[in-house]
Order: sequence, then C-alpha cells, then structure tokens
Amino acid sequence: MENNRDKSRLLLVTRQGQSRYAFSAENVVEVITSPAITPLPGQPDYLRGLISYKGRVVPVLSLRALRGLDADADEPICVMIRMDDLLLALTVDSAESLMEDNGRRVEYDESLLNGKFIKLDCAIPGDPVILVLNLKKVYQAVESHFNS
Amino acid sequence: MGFFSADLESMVELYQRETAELMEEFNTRQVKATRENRFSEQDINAVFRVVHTIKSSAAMMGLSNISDCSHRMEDLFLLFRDRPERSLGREDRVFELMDLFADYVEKENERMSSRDFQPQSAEAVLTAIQKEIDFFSGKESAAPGREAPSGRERPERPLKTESGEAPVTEPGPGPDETVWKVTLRANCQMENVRAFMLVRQIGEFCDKITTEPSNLEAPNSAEYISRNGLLLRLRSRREEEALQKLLSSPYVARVEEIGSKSGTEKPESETGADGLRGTEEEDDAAERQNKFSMVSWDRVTRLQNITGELITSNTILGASIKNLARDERLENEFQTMERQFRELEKLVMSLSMTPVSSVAPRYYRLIRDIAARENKKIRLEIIGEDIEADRNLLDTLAKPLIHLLRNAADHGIEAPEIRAAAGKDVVGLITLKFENLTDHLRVTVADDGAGMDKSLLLQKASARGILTKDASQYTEDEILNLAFLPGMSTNEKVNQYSGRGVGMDVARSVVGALGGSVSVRSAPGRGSTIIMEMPVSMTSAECIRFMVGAYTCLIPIRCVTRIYSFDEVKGYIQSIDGRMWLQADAMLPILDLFRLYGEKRTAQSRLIVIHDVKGSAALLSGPVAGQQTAVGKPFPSLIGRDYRARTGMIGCAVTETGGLGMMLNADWLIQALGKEIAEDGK
Repeated sequence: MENNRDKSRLLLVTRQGQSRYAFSAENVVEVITSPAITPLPGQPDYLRGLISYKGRVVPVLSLRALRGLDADADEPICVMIRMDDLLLALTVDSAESLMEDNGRRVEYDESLLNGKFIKLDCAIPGDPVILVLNLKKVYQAVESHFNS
Repeated sequence: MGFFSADLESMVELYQRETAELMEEFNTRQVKATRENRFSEQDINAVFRVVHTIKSSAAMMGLSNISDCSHRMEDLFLLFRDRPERSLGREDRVFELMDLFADYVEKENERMSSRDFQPQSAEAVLTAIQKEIDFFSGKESAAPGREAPSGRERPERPLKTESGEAPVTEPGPGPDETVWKVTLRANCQMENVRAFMLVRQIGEFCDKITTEPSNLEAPNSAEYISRNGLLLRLRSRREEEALQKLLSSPYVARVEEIGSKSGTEKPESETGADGLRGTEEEDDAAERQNKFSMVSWDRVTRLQNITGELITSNTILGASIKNLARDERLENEFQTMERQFRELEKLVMSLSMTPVSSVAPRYYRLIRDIAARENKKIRLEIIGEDIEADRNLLDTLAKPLIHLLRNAADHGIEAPEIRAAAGKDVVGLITLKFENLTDHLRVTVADDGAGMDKSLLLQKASARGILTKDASQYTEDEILNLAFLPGMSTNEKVNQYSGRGVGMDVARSVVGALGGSVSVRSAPGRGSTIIMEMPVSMTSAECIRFMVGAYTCLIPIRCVTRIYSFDEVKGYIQSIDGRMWLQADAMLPILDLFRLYGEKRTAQSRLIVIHDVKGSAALLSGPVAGQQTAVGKPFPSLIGRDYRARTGMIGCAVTETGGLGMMLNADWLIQALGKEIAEDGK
C-alpha cells in the first residue's frame, strides 16, 4: 500500500450498499445516469456491456459485480473514467461526495473483499471506511480475465 | 533551452517537413536506380539537387553534421554528374552509402522533434562516403587533365557563388529574365533563411533562379535583405505559379516586378512606410494561401471523427424522418443532405490518405541490407504501391512489416547455393502486396524460400510445454499458428524458422489491436505467406441489420448473397453429422448464430447467405430489421482478439435506432464455422 502519496488529491467517493469506494477524481471525466448499455454475447458478470460515448465505444463495468456481489441489481450511476488513452465506465449505486484526500490511512486487508478484481490503492479511516481503488490494477485484472 | 535557439525553433518544423519531402525524392530515386541497377542522368541530378538543398538548409539550422554529410554526398554525386559513367560498377556501394545517409538524416529528422534533441555524430557516414570519393580520386589522380573533385572546385550553381561574403549587385535582367523584388514582412527575422526557403519553394517553377544577395548563407545577408529586400532573377515558364507560391508565404509582404534595372538602385522606404498597403496585400496573400495549407494530423483525425459522428446522427435523423407523415420537401432536402455527407466523408477521408509508395523505400532498403549482410540474392517486389491508405495505419503497420520482411529475408530465403541445388532461381523473391477491399486492407508478405518446418515447430512447442493436446492431433493450420505464440523462436540463431515467432507475435498483436486478423500459409520448399487483414477505420458501409435474439447485428451488404426465410427453405436443409447444411447452388454449411451467441431461436428465422474471400456460408439468424449506412467503430481494447474471432464481431456501429449494433465480419464467421466443422469431425 502506498501511503501519504499525494495528500492534495481529490477523491470521488461512491456508496455501494454498506461500503464506500473512492477513486482519484483526476481520472473521472463525467458522471452520467442510466445510459443505454448494449450487452455483448457471453459477457461475464462484471461487464455490463458497451456504450457509445462521444464517438467512442466504451466498456461498462459493474462495481457490484467486480466485488463478487449479485450483478442483477441496478446501479444507476455511471462514472466515466479516463486513464491515459483508455476510456472506461464504472456503474455504482450512488456517488456520494468529492473529498480531499486527508492523507490518513488505515490498514485494510484486500482479501477481506470478496472479489478478485478489487485492487486497492489505500484505505482512509471513516464510517464506513473509504476504500480507494487502484483503477489501473482493477482494469488490468479485468482485462486479463476477459481475454483468458 | 534545447539545441535550437528561440529564433530557429519556429523553423524546425518547416525544416523537418522540407527535409522529409526531399528525402522522399532521394529515396524514390534510389529505388528507381536500384530497380534499373544504374543511375540515369536524371537520377544523379535529382540526388545532387536534394543533397545540395539539405546541405544548405541544415547549415542554416546549425545542423552541421547533416550539412557535412550532405556536402560529402554532394561531392560524390558531383563526380557522377560530371561523368555519369563513373558510377558504373559502383552502384551497389553507392546504394549502400545512400542507405546510410538516408538513415542518418531521417533519424535525425525524427529526433529533432524531441525537446532535448542533440545532434548525433555523423562520423561513420562521413568516413564511408569519403572512402568512396577517395576511391575515385585514387583511381583518377594519375590521369592527366582531369580535375580531382572536391567541394571547392565545382561548377557555378545557383544560390551560391564563391564571391565572398558581401552581397553583390549584379547587372540587370538578361533576355527572358524576370526580376522580382520581394519585401519580407517587417520583423520576420532570419530574413536570409526565409529567403532561402522561398527560393526552394519556387525552384520547381523556374528553369533558372539566382538571388541577390547571391550568398544567402553570408552572415550579413539577413540584415541586407531586411533593409533592401530580396531580388529574385529568374527564367521561368510558370511565373504565375511561382508568384502565387511567393505570395502564399506568411513572411512575404509583397512582390514587385522590377523593370530592366537592378533593384538596389531603387531606394526603398524604411520600416513603417509600407503600412496600409502592406496590410491590404497581406489579406490578399492570406486569401491565396488557402490554396495550400498544412494541417496537423491531430486536426485531421478530429475532423474525421466529427464527420463520422455527423454521418451517424444523420442516419438516426433519417430513420426518424421516415416515421413522420410524408413530406416531400423534407425528404428531398434530406436526400440532398445525405449526398453532401457522402461527399464530405470522401473528402475528409482523402485528407489522411497517402500512397503506399511513400513508405516503400524503407522496405527496399531493409531487404537490400539483409541481402548484403547475409550474402543472399533477394528481390523485393511491392505490389499495390499506388494504393492509398490512411497514413496512421501505414505507420502502425511498419513495425510488423519490418519484422515479417526481416524474417522472410533472414530465415525464409535460402542461400544462393542451396537454392541452386534445389533447382530454384538463385535470386529469392519476396512479395509485399497491398490490396484494398473497400472496408478492409489486406497486406501479404510472401517469400519463395524454404517454408516452415512443421515438425520442428511441433517439436519446439512441445519442448516449451505449450501444446494443449497430443501433437498428433494438430492440424496443419494449428501447427503453423503455433508460430504466432510469443517466444517460439528466441533460442537458436540460424535455422529456417528461428525469429519467425517474434515477427508473427508482433504482427498478431498490432493487427489484432487494429481489429484485424493474421493468417499464415506455408509449404516446405515453396515458401511462406503471411496475410494480415484489418478494417479501414471510419469508412461507412451499407449494411444489413438483423437480430439474433436480443442482439442487433450488422453485416456489409457486399458480403450478402441472398436472404431466405428459414421456414420456406426447410425442405432444402440437410443434417450431416449433426450439422445443418443448406442445399442451394452448392452445399452451404449453416452457422447457427443463436447457438454461437447463447440465445434462444426465435420465430421468423432467416438464413443469410454470405460470401467472402475464404468461401460462403449461411447464417441462421433472427428477422432482418433493415438496411443502413453504418460507420464502423473499433471495440475497446478490453474486447480482445480471441473474443472477436470467436464471435465474428469486428466492432460496433450506432444503429438507426440509436443503440449499438455489432459489426460482423464475414471472413471471421466463415473461419469460426470452419473450426466448428473441424470439431464436429472429431
């Protein structure tokens, strides 16, 4: 886990049932609600399909399903994420707030999370604790799973 | 600050572009000469002109290494220009030197874009060229009456006389000569460099052109031009074009024709005097400039994307209009608009198109290099040089192509004595073929060499533990495909197929990322053929839209032969070994898309007969929903090539109803079917 790396960064905090997940707001392009998602034949649970976003075709991942939870539940919020050249959409239950990373950290055991795709950058103490995702690693895990 | 001073920085791009253009000419001449295995007088003159120009422009940019190399090359070609027969018998050596030179200049040209650019040493190039020059002077110095060539004793050329540094006033125009006085914009700086570039730009329209000051490289020439203007004395049958070109330069304030006298005697008003008149003429010049304009690739790409979006929106709009009450005027208007969009698309696509011939020289050079190094005789034939393809695509393809050509030359083509013993032509042939299949580009690399050794491939794959079943169960195709797996080659240095793996691996990942496919054929003793196919992005295609359960699919109309209602042709369907075949003109295997996509078969099923280069088949699908123009968009990289090959989906397109449809590739579907049939048999 990387600690105190960049205290001034902004995080987008999303609520997911009882847990809170956050990721660097720098990567967030836009938050949209209920986009028209086109499913793909034989897609795994965590992939909800594709959307057309500003002329590009973008895969939509479900945070719920990535955590290994029931994938059928509706996640109405779709967060558009850009990492370098890569565009990605992540559906979540709700977007809670934008917060500045206060630099405080708490040890958190990744393996407690029931999902092989959830990769954490760090965890910030709170109630409930804020789990900061490492989006790059999440994507890499998804990509290698989808293509194996 | 980088290598270039602030003054020069703004010139770097211009220099790079010009040098790239010049090197294209240089390379084209070399290719032509290589093909004919001799230098024609025109070739020699052209190469001479190119290196001369690079020499001067590089010197002005402070790129002394490039300038020195060009100077040396100029000396060499001066020898040939004086007496073309000197080059006889030395062609191969000269080709090599040209390769070396081009390589150096082009690499530097690319590196220059980087902020921390520092020139690289040109010692190796200089020495090599000098050696060849020495060869001649050694041979000829004994002969009386012949001047030993050197940089200093060359015939007078335009642009530069040896008369020292001070600008020289020459007499008035001779017969058929025109004299123009060019006034550059105030404060445009580096007037001599601008002047040099202008002369370069109008050179092609002039039979003869000299300048005053005559030596633009002289240190005080900039100041002289800024004070007195630049005099151009030219003989030209295309004066109008030359004038246009001059006026299109952003640095030119005005051009005046001067009567019979040298312009320096006409006093020119000092700064500021040309105020109003200058602006008016600048506007005029700006207008003319529209005839030619350099646009960055980034903008072209954006323009193309927006055009794609427009066409998609237009398609959706069209569908909505159809649902409205009939309105002839609206429909006519819409049709007109649709036609205009087609035009627009064609035009916008053409912006980034460049002929294959523009990238051909580097491939010729590569093969020549390897042939020389490996002592082989190899002829490279490029077919389809006049085909135009997207410039970005050609650049992206360069990497796999270099690997594949290197493989073919290194490992495919045998040594001459082996070829002779096998009764083959001692000169090996490598063919690089570009084909345009409307929405696809096919690139084939074929050699008539040894072919791949299938048993060795199997043996190696087995040793690496990458076989997924018993070796005896591998089909020929599957064995050849083993060569695509990474690391199938890294060990031994020289045998017939070592190295193949790397190239094929690269080819597969690059072409895969483009949404294309790679296949290989090989016959022992007869050579190998590698075929890469990729969609040409952004072109729209007329497609049939149909459903497979919940999925909307699109397939280009050009691949569709016929559409049957499944119920109507039931009587013609036979089941052989559990697979359905349609008995039409020929027996067509049926690919059940419902099964492939995990959907339940619905009523109103259709059989869509498709064809492509690899054969024909019938697709069992749901109802046909319509026909539409679709702009293909590649899948995101997450959707990897295996998924695409398995499902036959090459990408998506926005449908008339605004959702996404899956673009199907007929070839891939037919291949997927072939695999199914092969598995049926087991």
